Amino acid sequence: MGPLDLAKYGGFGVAASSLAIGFAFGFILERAGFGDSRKLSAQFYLKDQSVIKVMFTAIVVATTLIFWSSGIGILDFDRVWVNPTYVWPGLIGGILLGMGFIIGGYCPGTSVVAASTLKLDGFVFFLGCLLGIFLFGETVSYFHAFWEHAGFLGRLTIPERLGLSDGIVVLGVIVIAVFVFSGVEFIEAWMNRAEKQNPAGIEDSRIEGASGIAPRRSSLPRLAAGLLTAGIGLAVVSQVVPNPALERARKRAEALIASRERHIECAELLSLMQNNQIVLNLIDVRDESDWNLFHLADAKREPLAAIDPVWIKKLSADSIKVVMSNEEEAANQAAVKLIAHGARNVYILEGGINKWIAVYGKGEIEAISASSAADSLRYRFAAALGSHYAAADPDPWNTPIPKFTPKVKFEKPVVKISGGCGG
Amino acid sequence: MSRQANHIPEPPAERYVDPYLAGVMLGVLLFVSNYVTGHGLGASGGMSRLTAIAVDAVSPTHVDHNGFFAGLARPWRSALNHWILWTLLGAVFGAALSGALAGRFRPRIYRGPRVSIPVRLAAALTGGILMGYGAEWGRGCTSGQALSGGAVLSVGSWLFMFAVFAGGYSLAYFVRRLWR
Repeated sequence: MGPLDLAKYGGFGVAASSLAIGFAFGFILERAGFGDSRKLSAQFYLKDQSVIKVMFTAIVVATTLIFWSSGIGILDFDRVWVNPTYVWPGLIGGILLGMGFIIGGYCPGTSVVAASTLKLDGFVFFLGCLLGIFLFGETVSYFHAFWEHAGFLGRLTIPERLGLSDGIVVLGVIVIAVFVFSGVEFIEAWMNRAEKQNPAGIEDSRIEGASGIAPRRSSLPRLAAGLLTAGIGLAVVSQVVPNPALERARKRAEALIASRERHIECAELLSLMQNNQIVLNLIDVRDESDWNLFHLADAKREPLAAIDPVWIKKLSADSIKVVMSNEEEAANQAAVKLIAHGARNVYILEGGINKWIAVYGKGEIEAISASSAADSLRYRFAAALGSHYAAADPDPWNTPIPKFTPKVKFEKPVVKISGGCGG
Repeated sequence: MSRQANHIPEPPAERYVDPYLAGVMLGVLLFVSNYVTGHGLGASGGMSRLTAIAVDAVSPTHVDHNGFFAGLARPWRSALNHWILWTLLGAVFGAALSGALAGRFRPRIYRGPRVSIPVRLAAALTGGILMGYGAEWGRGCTSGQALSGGAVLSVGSWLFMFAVFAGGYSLAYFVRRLWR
């Protein structure tokens, strides 16, 4: 299953694979004509829109292959690098980059291609890039906080953001791509028809596809048919077959919860609450009426149904999460979800809120003898005081913490494969 | 396809690969890269490292005092020890071979029909500076951010891609003399 474990082959594996991939990258870009600044800049004058055709085709083809292989379980998407989202710095960078593109005629990769085929303008552009990076390094301290934090959303994909399945989003991207390509072909034909009536335009004939050379039969219909078939197939598969990687992660999480290694005693939770050196997320998954009656100080209510991948991604990797319900059932389910979606340091309050009140609510909260429903509150409250009961935040000076076997072991986030650009 | 003795020597009309075919090849390569290495392609990241190496060669103490360069060149390894520089080196050879096969491996300055060589080179330098500056702001370039991040459906990469086209189109009219 991919991505392959290149570390197995030492530095050689990374070097050889990167060299080969880079070689093909440079070769394909040169073949496409991307070592020619006139062809690249023509994108912005609508006469030769190869840039958008090549780029967008590459993106949809790669997306389709990536999500197909992840959908059928031969690629572990969680280990694939997804560029983290920094909304505002990204937009600023994109606009600057677009301006640099139209003024200089290249982007970093294509300037390397141009320089490698001895194009002086490409080499000068390349040097300009180095200079620009140097200037960034010299000035970043003035806006460092903005650059690091403005609109930071971490690893976030469009399907996660929209709450749709990967397959549906990939199909949507393919449909949009086919529309864009058709539009682009139409605009190109229209721009170049106008050109033919204007003799001055003949000068552009040396740019392939602009005019002069007989147009080849378009490969767009075949490409569109192939992509749409693959996209519809993926959308269907993703609806019918559960994501195998996620299923495996869920099985592992269920086994972990069943082992009870993640169930901590009330005393351990109290010691965590009184420890100011850690970040604690208390996640209460009960319904609103139980929550209003009583909940722990600093807890956050998140009903089981609302715990979805997007919400989970927002949790800090460095915090310790303790999930609780009245007993344990709902908490267990929530913890399985959290762990299966990659949250770290997830624990469950053993015995739930009922156990907590039994230990810390003596004399304050009255017990009901029995309750029929599973995972429900077994206490009667004088009023819905929420966390204003003393038991919600036991006094650290007067509440002795009995001996307990600590189970919380802080796990650091694993080092992920890092991406290429920008760092 | 005869070449005329002209003050600007023109090579024969460039015969490039069909853009959709090139796109499919690039897409397959991007997938292979993700499958084998767990990440996509990149270019500007290699340039950041080259810059850090250059600064380090001129003034190591400056690198020590600058968090950005130190992050690239310092922690526990050389800035050279990164896959992206191998990719960049591979791209140099790949592009050179493709150019040689097509008769395009020869010195030239590509420029618009109405622009002089000094102006073209000045524009290339200016554009490069903006590009390098912008690529660091956006944490990637057209390859590493738009293409690679776009393929894994990163929200930020798609926003970035729209911004690139917005930036290009917004300025295209004003610099048309460079290209048209």
